[in-house]
Amino acid sequence: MSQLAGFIAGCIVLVVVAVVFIPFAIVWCTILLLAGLVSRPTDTGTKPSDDAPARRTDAASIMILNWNGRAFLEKLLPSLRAAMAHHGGDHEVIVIDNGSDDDSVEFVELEFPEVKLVRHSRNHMFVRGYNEAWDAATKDIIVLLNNDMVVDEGFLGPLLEGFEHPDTFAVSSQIFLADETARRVETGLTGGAMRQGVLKLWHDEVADHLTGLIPVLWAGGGSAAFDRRRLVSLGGFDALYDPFYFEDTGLSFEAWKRGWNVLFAPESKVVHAHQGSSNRLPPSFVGRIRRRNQHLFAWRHLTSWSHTVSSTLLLPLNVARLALGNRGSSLLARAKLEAVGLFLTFPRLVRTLRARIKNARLATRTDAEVFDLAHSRHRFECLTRPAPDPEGQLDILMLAARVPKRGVDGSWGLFELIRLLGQRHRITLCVLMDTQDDNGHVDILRPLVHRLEAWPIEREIGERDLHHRMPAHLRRYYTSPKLRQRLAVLLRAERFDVVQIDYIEIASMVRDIIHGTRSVHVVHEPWFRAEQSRQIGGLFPRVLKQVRFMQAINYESKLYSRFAVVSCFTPEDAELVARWTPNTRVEINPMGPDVENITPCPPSTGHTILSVGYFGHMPNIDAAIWFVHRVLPLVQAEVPDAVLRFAGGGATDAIVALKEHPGVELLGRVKDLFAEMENCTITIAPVREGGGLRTKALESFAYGRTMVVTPLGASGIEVTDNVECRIATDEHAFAAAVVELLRNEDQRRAMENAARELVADRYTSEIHARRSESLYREICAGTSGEGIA
Amino acid sequence: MSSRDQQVVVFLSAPPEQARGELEAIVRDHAESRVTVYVRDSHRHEYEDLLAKCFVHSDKPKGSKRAFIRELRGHLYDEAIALDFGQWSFFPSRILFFLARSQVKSVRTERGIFEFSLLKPTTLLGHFIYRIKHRSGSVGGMPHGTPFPFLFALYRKTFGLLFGVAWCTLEYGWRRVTR
Repeated sequence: MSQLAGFIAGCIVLVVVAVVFIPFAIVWCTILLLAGLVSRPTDTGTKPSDDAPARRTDAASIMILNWNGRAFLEKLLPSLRAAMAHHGGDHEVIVIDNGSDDDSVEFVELEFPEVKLVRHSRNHMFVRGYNEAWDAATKDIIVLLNNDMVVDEGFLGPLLEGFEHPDTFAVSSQIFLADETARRVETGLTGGAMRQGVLKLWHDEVADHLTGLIPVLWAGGGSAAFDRRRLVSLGGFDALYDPFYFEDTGLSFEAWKRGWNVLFAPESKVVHAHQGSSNRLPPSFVGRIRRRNQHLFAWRHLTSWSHTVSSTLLLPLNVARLALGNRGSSLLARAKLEAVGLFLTFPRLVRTLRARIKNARLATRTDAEVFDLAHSRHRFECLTRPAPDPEGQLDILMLAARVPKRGVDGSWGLFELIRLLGQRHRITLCVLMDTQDDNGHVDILRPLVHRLEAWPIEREIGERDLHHRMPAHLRRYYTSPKLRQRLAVLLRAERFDVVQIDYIEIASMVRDIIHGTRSVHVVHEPWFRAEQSRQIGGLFPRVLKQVRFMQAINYESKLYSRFAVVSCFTPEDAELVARWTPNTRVEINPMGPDVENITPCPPSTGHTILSVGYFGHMPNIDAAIWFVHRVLPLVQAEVPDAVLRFAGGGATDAIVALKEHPGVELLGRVKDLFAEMENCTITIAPVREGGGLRTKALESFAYGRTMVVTPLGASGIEVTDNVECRIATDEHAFAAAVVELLRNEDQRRAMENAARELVADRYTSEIHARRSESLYREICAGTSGEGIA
Repeated sequence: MSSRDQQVVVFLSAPPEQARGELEAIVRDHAESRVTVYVRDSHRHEYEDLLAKCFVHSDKPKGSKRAFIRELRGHLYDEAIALDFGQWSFFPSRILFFLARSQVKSVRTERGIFEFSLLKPTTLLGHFIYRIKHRSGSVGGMPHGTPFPFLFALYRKTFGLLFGVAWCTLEYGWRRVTR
């Protein structure tokens, strides 16, 4: 009963709060928007280059705020002494005592006489505690440490090296938790975003191999180094956030907006006994202060129109949403926390407005620019690092929605590209694994690349997509929040010159974070083309097909425009993509087989027809069924001993059922394609659906086998009918071409030679790799070729 | 508890990582009983060793649904067991559990085992209320953490679909005109 009463009381509080705050939200929104008009950035904004004083990066003032933390200091100060000795610079340590009742001061004076002591008469908490002690620091760089940290011996070097760049404002350390079994709720690789009017902050995971400097949204006040002059010029921590929480986020965000940078040095390591000090305060007090400062931060720092409107007008809704959404205590307690947190902002609104106007005038970056830069090492380095050497080795990040395999399906083209580029460049490859079998293929890929990440596909829906904007297949299988988070971390922290994204599935997963990067999206098959060419009968299925086609067009058009370049395999695909996404640069780069290592088969004999492909792919299934039911009987009427063999895995029930037909053999996945090619007379590609390049055709030509194809099957390959292969549109023409080739050995032999020559001249993996390479270099150099768009 | 004449039906309505342990326990406890298992086809290989001594059915009708249910109800079991660890995707299998004819019906959850009976509706209701808050994975195709997922799912499949098709058509028309 008491739970029910609490729930009802909580609901009443929420309704009252929501109603009371609606007028406030409207008035406050109007005031902030008007303030935005008078606080446009002026030319007096402090540019980074204007105030870049020479600063010593070999010396630091290390400041530690302490309140009754003798037990913590006993661990921290010896580790700090060792770290300073290891670094060897001219450092000083300042302990700021916040009116401790324990014997912290006596302990420091006795055990660490070299430490400078600043004593406050009482506990000023975090913001005032530090703000009243900045004068004690004499070095150009100030390192702030929580007293419940223990530093690694080598923590100072990477931290101070970050200040060699003149625009650096702060550098943060990597944080480990003292409790190694606990989830790493803080790492130092910080990020944040406004989501539906609420500022969300987080720490991303840090991979072990990460080195160098990575931009972050904020440097934590408990383990970061700051440029002293800039820190003081910003007024230290904003008193608006007194006593604690969001003061470091606000300081860093202000620095970003002024044109300075906030970085993260993963090699600088500290261990944190998480919330050692704040745990001694009442949780409700801490919770309210945190919520109050969360609101104040949004109003004080986020000056774009969209952020201003969402952080104010959505306020009543968000108070209810946060109270209902969070768990752990009763609804009444949560409602009280949200309401009080919001009420506590009232006495500080005028100060917030004043600070907002003043700092907006000095800003040199917009909110969007700050969020973009702070969440992408790549975008940040595009601004701060020179373009890569035009002839040198490139760092290439490749993302693929499936594991590239040799001899299994059409992904061998990507496999060959990785193999060849891996010999000349540093490739970091990230692939999604669908089945257990993929593990074996991942092991084959591993030696070809610098680093390989293989993640299993998580079948978890992560998007509501209430209005069906996204193709159902993508929503169902490729919206896993976990996977998207992993990709986001990879893209934000990894160092690379260019990123190549293969397949729409993974392109869709990175669509919100890829803009502004040097990116190439390789379109293996435009989705809308596949939808459009689907062979479907009946009124309702046709209507559905048209809706799906429109959905795919809308989705893909928006998706493609996010990449620097979209690369297609065939001119037909490229033309369609360019037509529907007019502002996107589209290139044509057909893949090709490794012709040098494919020995041509001896001249063909017999009456065996071979169809190669992955028979879990819809266009291949349709092709197989169409050929067996409509064409093969016509062929067998003329050549009774004709045999049709299907080589390839993934066979569905419909394909397995085909083996009941006389003269049809299912080989499944074959280990040695050469043997199958050697035993066949001709190959076929009777595809009627889909787009992209038919890799099976190039493969067949490379083995010295001619084929009969539909016009769609020959798409993207510059073949001439009757020279390299036969092109047939309907079942009768197809059957006639097959019969003719089976019977006429001379004609077949001439075409086999021509086909092999064509592939060797124009469609090799080496040509594909060279073109890709030159495209990467072009993007890196910032030169923009015309493309076909 | 096990006896030679007992007939037990098990609905493996949980992911293999949780269901495996439960099935092991059930097979062990009913070593001398006739155990019938309804399992998702794609998970069957996960329990191959355990299913060797059981009668195995797919939890999805291959042909007519009515025939499938008639066959299920053709047996009177001594005990029917379902698993519920909060995954929405196994809901159809749990419906089968409700349809099955059995003397005793028990549900195995992360909080233990409880017996379901029409004479004790509070047990099931209590579990249902608990489950609304403690579920894992998505409900009705909505992402985990969506408040009131049923309502969102219902909207998506009705008005959302209509609005989506209308919007999609308009957007496509605009693209055709401006391309």
